[in-house]
Amino acid sequence: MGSAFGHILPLAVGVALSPLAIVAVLLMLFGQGGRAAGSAFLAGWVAGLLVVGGVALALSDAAEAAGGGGDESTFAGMMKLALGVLLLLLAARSWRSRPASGEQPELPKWMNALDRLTARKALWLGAVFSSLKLKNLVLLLAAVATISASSASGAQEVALLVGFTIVASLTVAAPVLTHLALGDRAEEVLSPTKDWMARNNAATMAAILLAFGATLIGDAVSILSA
Amino acid sequence: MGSTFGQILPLAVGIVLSPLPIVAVILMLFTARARANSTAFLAGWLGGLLLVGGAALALSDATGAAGSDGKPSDTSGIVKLVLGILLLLLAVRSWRSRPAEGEQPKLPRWMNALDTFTTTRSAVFGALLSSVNPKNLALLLAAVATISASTASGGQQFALLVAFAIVASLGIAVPVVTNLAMGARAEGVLTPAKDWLSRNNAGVMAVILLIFGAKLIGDAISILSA
Repeated sequence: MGSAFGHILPLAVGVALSPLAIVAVLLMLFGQGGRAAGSAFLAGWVAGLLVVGGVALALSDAAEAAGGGGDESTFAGMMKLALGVLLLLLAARSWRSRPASGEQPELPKWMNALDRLTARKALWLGAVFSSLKLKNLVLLLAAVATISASSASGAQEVALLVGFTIVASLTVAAPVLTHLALGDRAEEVLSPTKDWMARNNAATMAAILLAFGATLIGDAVSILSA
Repeated sequence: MGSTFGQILPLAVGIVLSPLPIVAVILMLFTARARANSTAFLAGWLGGLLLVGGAALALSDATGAAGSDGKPSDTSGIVKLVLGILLLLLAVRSWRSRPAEGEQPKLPRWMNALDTFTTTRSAVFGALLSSVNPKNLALLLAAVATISASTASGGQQFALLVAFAIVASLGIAVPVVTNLAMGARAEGVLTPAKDWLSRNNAGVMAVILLIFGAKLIGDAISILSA
């Protein structure tokens, strides 16, 4: 079980490294919705990972049971190869769409409305962000494939998914907790971070996608050549 | 052997993602001694990896880091744990030193003197940046620990190191080859890439260090808990 956790830890860090999600939670915390919206976003983020991850894990375990002794590791290898190639394609897209020198990076339009978001909508948005945004979905599925292919028991598999979710939620939790601890002064501390993330989003995303694309392809090579 | 290559591939990509050396080689391409110096820089980069990696591999094999039962030894786990923590500390430093809004990112002073570089000096800088720079050294040593702990024979281990060095040199090789292929027209392609990399250096470095720190710590957990 420790071995499986070691394998999924970097994937969880990859989910945690979501610059736009961090910008989004900061916009909410400093907007009209304030703490309620920010906390709801965090709750949605956690729930999205647990629900989508849980469903994928159940499906994968069921397929494994039905396949009965089929070559599951080849399947995990092929899946990681496909996911790795997808991440490399996303990296190329992120690199090509980087803002030109001096150009103000454009945040997606829907983000302008975040400071007026209700807690209920924030909850949904958090879930979509953590588990359906392409990069995060790929990393989550790769983690599920690793957990499912490990020798962990059912309860241990759930524990691994929870451990993954906790690490993957740290960067969204940190601003919410800072806001709880510092109150209004949090804005001074966090605002420069938000601006920096928004400016560097394309670059950091390209690097993250490239690193994890290579990791998944490397995993696939290891599994398929074993 | 394929399995080991899969494990070291992401580490090689971690070395590819070296924004400042890529900026340096592109700057070199637009100096008077462009072709000789940039080729020497690339050769030095490759040579540094092979030399330091080869020495570390010989040392590690001599001290018997490989587990007797064919599994990676605890030594390779502890090496990876220490290197992973080092990378996380470097990530924090990189994040804290990021340039403020509107501030021009500072390039190291030696990069202003590139037009006075001799061929020898270019080769030496290539070697230093590929294998003595803390991030790259940590990734190289992690790869050596993986190669040494594998069941590969002596000749195979050397082949793995060569493959690692080739992949790790792609980031430097691409601008050099682009220049050879496109001549003067390369400037139009390479200069915007260079400006973008120097602006985003701190952000890209912080996420790369964080990802590979997490990866090495995850590997260490897997090895030590097995």
